[in-house]
Amino acid sequence: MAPFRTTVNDVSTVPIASSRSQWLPAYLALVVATSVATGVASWMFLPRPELGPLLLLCLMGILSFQIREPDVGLRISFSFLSIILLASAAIVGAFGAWLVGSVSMLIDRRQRRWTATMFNAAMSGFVGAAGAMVYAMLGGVEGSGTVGLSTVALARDLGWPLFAADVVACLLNAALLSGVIHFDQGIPFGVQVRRVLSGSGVAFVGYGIIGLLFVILWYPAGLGAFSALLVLAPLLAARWAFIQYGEELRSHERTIDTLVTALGTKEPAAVDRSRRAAVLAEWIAEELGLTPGQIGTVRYAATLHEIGHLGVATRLLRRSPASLSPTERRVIDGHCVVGARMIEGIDFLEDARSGIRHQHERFDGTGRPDGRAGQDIPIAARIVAVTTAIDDVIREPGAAPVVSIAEVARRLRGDPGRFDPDVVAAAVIALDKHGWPAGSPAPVAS
Amino acid sequence: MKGALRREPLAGIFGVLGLLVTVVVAVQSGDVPALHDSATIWVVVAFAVTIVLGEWFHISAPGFRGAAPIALAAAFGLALTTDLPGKVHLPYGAPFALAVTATAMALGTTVRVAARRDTSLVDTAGRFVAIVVATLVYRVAVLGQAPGSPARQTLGTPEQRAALLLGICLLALVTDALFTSLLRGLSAGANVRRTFIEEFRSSFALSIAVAVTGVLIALAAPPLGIVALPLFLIPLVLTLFAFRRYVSIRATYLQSIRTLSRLTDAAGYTPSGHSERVAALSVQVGRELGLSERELLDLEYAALLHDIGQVALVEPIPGGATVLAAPADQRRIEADTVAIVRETGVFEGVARILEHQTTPYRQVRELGEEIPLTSRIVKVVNAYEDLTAGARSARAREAAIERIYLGLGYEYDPRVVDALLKSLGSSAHA
Repeated sequence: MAPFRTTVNDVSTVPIASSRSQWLPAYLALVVATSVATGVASWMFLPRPELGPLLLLCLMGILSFQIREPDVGLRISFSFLSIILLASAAIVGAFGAWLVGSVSMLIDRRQRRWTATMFNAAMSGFVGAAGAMVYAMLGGVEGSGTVGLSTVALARDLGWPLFAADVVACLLNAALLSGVIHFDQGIPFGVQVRRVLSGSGVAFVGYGIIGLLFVILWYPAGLGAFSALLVLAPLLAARWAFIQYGEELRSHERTIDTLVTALGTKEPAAVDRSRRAAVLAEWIAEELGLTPGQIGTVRYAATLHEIGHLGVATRLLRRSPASLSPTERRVIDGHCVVGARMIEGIDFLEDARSGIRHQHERFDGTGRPDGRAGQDIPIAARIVAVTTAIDDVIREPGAAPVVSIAEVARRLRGDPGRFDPDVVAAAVIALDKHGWPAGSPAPVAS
Repeated sequence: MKGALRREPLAGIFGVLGLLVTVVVAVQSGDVPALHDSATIWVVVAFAVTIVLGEWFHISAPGFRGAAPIALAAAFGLALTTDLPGKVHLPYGAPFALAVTATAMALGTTVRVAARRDTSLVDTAGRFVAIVVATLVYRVAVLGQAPGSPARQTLGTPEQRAALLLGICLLALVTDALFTSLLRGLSAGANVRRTFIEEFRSSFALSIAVAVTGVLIALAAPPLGIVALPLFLIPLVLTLFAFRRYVSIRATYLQSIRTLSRLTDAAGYTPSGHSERVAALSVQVGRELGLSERELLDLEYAALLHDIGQVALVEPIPGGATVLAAPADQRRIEADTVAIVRETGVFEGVARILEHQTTPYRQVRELGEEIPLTSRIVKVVNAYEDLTAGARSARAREAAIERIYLGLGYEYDPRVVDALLKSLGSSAHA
């Protein structure tokens, strides 16, 4: 089960507010209502849990949420609450799991939007209850029923139902979470589900095993509530592993930021251009339905598309494009080759390099540096070409303060053979949906 | 095997002795279970195979003590497990359990050495010491078990047993850290107390997870049988995957530092390879001055990045030699460098070194300003490299040294210059 618990992020970190769908309140209300109904129904129709274990599990749930790994870049935070919920399914049943899930997320000092807190609590309560119901339906034995079972019987009546509950909860969690991110930030639902599952799904289904160990220690090994203390060590190990996942993403971001800062020391205006290109490129990539890995590559390539300027003499970069001789023009255009060479040796940027190198190729095959055509040009390069062109249009000296999207589309299509028509179409849809990247209409700083 | 033995002779001899002694004692005391007792044999084989595999999948990373968490957890499990389902008591005591552990560890380590994988005999010997302590304390001192006879469970509730076992494992781990730092201290002449603290701190979290896993295996064996071993190892195995991620994160930072250090080369601001040469020489000088491994790592990174601020210059300095630039320009480059390095968010130590790389030494003497020794090293080595401009001839070297002598005590720290001369001398002879 995936321990992704949203922090549906506060508005400031969302690029622009217009991405939010009008359906968001309805979606949130639906999830909350379903969850409450599930809780009430399981209280009325299913066996009720013992108070002691319930309190202990609630405390562990709250603890896990309080020490969660904060936002790891996908506007999602990780905690091992999912493991606690899984153990709850076998120890305190459906109502218990619902209560543990709901209570754990209610205390949230970092979240300023109460709707997000409500959603989080409702979602984890529902996921907990659903897991417990799957567990019961597959013949899972509750609590003390596991004492004295043989190893084979334990696998059949505890291990297997718990694993199924784990997988169901993981999928349900990913789906509910992607739904809210879809309505809140306009990221296509399928893209977000794949992103959540591919990032960490397998590993986190795997860590569900700790839930099984917890139950075994509690009943068959006869440790009772003391097992909670012992199981903390593997839980903290799992937490450390989640943190590494977040740290990996963060190390990539930091590396990129450092490179952009280095570029900004030489050419301050390039920093904003990079940021806008990254936002725009990510939107286009999502619209094209690329895999999570490809979207990452596209974003890196777009952020670093001008990194080669570090290798071009500053006095050339400072001159206006009109005053350059053809030779000087070629030196500047060579920046994409220089840039691709510069970041050679950073493993996670390996795929992005070709996106930087080929950003000046033309779709009809008459571009530089290698004269590649059509699908031979890496998708990252085709996207970067379009984002750069869009940025040029809206920041052109003398452009209207607010350029219409239709005007941008007309300009992009005005040069047939330069761009990939699919990418241009995706760009128009993305701009329609999200508006301009933040800071776009600002005057050119030079 | 020879290479590893030559590097760590004490640990190697200790390991071989341990193996011999445990096997001889086990046979002499008649602690070896009967071959036809297949249930017992299977349990022992499962533990032994896991230990061998665990020794093979051993983890190591820069700044991290070498460890084999799977092997150690399985060995703790073997030491502490006395019962199986159905009130079956395992019919062996401390000598046999230790002999099995020693044999499995030796086998795993031999395979690793034969495959030319990176192995530390000191760490392996340390693990063995931990197991000896745990086994003797639990089986002999607490249970009073005689060789060849099963343990009679006289301990209290499961909770009390769990607490006791955890305590024993922690004691064992402390002994392990003490033993390895003593051995390291003896061979490298390092400060034993400092090594101990560093060993303990760097491996504390992982050690706790390992100890708890071993205890859990022993506690779950009575209801589950040997299945408890693989089942309770799974979280640890998953954590090893996360550890690989941790290593790859370190690698990413290192790669980005290397890339950044090449940026000024690529942009034509500095002669090619300048940063790398400064880094290599700085580390030599740092060794000469007795810096710790951690400080040396920061020093190396700082030296690699010391010129990165030059990318902000409109016109490159001739030859990239900051030592010839005006002091105000030097400080501006320094400020840009520090800003870029700070952006990484993880190299605070490196940024602190770079903050003072142009400060003249006299400010230490006259104004009592605190300048890290590492900054003074970067300053001297950078000056030397700028002045020789990569030339390796004796004449270029003497000319550069002469210029540096002119600033001795005023610009440059005489201690560092001495160390530079020493490391230049030793590399000239090599």
